[in-house]
Amino acid sequence: MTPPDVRAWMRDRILLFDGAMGTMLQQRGLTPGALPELLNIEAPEVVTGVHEAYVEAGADVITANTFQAHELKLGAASVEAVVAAGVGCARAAGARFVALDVGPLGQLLAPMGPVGFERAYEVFRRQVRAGAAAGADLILIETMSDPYEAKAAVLAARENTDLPVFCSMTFQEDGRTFVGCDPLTATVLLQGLGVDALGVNCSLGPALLAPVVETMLTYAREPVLVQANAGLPVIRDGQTVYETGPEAYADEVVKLVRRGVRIVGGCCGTTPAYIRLLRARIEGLAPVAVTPRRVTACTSGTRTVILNGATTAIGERLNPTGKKKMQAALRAGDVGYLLGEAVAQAQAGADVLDVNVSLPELDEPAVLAKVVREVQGVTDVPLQIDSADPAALEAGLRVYNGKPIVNSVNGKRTAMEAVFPLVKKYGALLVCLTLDEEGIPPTAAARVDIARRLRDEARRYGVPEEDLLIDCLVLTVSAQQAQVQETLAAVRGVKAELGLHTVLGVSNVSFGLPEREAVNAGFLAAALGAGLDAAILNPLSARYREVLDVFRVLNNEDKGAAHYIETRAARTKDAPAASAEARVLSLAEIIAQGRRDLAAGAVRARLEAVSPLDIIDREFIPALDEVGRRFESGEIFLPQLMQSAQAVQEGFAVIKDHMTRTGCGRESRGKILLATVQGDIHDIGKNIVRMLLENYGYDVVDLGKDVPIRTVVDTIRAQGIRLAGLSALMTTTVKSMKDTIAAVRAAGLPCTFMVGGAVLSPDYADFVGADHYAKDAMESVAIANEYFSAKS
Amino acid sequence: MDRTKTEVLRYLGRRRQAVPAELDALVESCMALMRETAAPRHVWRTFDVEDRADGLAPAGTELMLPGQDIRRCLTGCRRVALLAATLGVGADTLIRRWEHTDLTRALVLDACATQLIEEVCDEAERAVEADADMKSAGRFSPGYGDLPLTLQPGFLAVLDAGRRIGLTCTESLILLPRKSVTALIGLGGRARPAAGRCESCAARGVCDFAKRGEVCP
Ligand code: SF4
Repeated sequence: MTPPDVRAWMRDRILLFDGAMGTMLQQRGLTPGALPELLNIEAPEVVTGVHEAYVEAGADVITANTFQAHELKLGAASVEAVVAAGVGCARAAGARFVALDVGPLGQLLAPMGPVGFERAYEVFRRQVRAGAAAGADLILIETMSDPYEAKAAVLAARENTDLPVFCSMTFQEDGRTFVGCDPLTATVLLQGLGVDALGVNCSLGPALLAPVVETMLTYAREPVLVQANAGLPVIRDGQTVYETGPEAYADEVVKLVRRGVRIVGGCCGTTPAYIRLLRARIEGLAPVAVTPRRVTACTSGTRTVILNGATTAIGERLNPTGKKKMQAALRAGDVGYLLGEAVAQAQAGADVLDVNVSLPELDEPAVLAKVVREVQGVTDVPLQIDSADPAALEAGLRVYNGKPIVNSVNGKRTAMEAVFPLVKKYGALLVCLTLDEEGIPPTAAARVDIARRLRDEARRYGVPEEDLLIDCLVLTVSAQQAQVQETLAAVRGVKAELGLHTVLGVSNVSFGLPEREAVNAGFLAAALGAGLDAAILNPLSARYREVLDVFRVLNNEDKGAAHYIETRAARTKDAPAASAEARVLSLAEIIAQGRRDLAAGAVRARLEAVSPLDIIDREFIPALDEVGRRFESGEIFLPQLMQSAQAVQEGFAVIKDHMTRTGCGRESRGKILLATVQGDIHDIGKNIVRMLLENYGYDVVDLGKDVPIRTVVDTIRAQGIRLAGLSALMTTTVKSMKDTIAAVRAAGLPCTFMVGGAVLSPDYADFVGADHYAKDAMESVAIANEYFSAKS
Repeated sequence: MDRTKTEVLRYLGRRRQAVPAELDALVESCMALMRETAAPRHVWRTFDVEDRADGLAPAGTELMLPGQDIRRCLTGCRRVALLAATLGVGADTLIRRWEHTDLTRALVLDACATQLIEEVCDEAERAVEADADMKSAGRFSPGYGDLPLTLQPGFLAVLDAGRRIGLTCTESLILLPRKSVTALIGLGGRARPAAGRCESCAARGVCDFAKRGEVCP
């Protein structure tokens, strides 16, 4: 007999889940800290007994005891066996529906923790497959704090089973999850992934969760689920207790049902008594119809940008087209450069960042996925994934944490067939270019027609029209002067006739004209006046920022001109002082005082009189040596040393620029590999070492943190590295340092090692088989200097 | 200079050096930013101390507390609290972000976080004392002395710390979020000595201060 689909069953009913399992098992003697899932096999009658009590109390859905039944927690025990036994216990209790319970992995996902997205996906895949095979009726992904982890679980469930997927997250008293996700972001993101119900569970009682639930109800098109705790946990006599009783609990939950919540139940601290009372209270309550607000929104994991009524700036700088430095960085795999660009744009006020990595010789899907991941590690600004290659788009979409913008589709049949399904599957806003097989139509009316066609086609794929951003295409005014007005007319037409949002890349318009910024700024103002919603531009340009800031005031977005006034006030304050100081301080003084704000200007001025090499050898290095000496002698301490190093770093950037432009290069003083060893994920110390070594003119190959032994060996071999620095922070990872060095030696590579890190000491350095121990960052420079001067 | 700031500067390696005005301003702004960003949370439970053949244990759990140092620390204690505290991933993320644009600021933020988590633990310790109506004999963490780090996973499991405060532990036994502490707090034994009285302190030689060659404030 096939049971009815839970989605059909709940169409005109409030669906009731059961209450806590852990609470009940502990009452029955489960040791705190022991894995409750093992009882599915060791004592199934106890588990079934709890389920029976909930069935008897009137729960429609019984949640199998499989919350942590995954390979990271169960270790050797078989996931399949524990899950099957768990589902079996729920079934044996006479459940109408059995939910496979899927909880968080108990490990943080990258970039916060060690578990990669694909690894998380694999772990969830094994669990959900086992659940489906055991005959679960639905999958409940719950107690999620990280939307990225929720995404891995939802994808695993949807790609490997046909079961309905409910997903609920856990919010704290500040209205956010542990990783900072807010309910709006959770709703937009989970909805984009196509869950069948979404909601909130655990952490707080139903009363405190009400504001979170309210936000979800405002935006969710799917049924909203609430499984609260029996109140906020408090500690009494050293034990955690939940103080909201069944009556008060049911009262609050019924209030939420009257607001539109469709699925209820209980979490920590609730018992069959709570569920029995809830059953009685919801009997006869029909689902309350809600009309969700439909917005055009993209998100990162922790932030949502709603485009409705808010002019949006999309940063264009993460794109190699026409940018030599970016091309070089991408070819060299130097993600650090891209991250700097990303953070700078976000700090300059970009609301979204476009990410494009298309260079002919790169493996675009792999590189795009990597860059998306890394950029998301340093900014919470949502991204626009930009590629003409559907495979690259999918790679980026898959690893993205949130609901991104996809750039782009167009009216060509092949493009639509490739891109719409991806957008439907992963959830994204989509930039739609108004061109088709015939090219870019010359008239505004024809572009509006293509936009209409794109909208209709999107509908067929199930992509809602509010997720579309129409790009009416900017042509170059110096070549096709009359076209600029067509573009603006098309923007007006799309807004008036179709009511869709619009986006334009403004920078193209000025190609071939002098003072391009002026032209772009003028065009931007005109486009905003025509109703443009989102502009792709360089957010570092003060000129564009000014146009945007002013428009947001005039358009009644920047309320009370608060942002405008605040940013102008800050600007007039510090500007003049700096330039006056720059004239009186010498480069050596600027470095000694760590004035990074003055360094670039001073180096530029020196370059008029002195060769770049002389600046490095005669000014940077002596100044740094002096700073280093004062650090060693205890006259200054670490932050001061670092500020000096950063000043040199700023100056170095100017010199590198100059060298690229003039083509006069310089031989590197030597190449050094740096890595924080496998298992260790904190690398600020290594980054300090990197900066200092670079200041001294060394080329640093920085492999980052948590670096697999293989990667170290391979890189040393491939790049002929002779000196390598390893850092470890924990006594537990010193072993991994030892193994790394041993592996390099075993491979017969003649590499000298220096090691450092909080727990390291000369003894440890001996133990791991290193050649040198660096007690601080300055010492690593001394070691490098000695090594390379002895060699030459 | 206020005590919090002095602490932060000490974590940054300051001994006696003068602090230039810009650096002082940087520290101030980082302290404010870290306080704004961090989401400090803690969870604890108390247990009777059980003396088993192979070591001490919080009664009713499968957690063993092996070694001589914890035994010394819990001398005379009838109860022991397990405390876990964290600043949340927001603090880590903030530090990581600045690492790419301003390493000095990242380092200062890191020191601010270290100071803040200590403060959170101090507060939690007072709450533990108040709830138990007993004096604390001081905090003692896995990894101090001969108390192994391998305790971490079991320690967190007993407190359900993942679910309650979002605190996890990697396979290499690193607590994540990074700015987190687990500690045992002996109750009802010898009270913690006045500051700096290392001879009579249970954490003698193995506390974080001692590791840095310092004495607690
Ligand atoms: S510094 Fe001395 S008194 Fe303070 S905690 Fe450490 S050992 Fe105890």
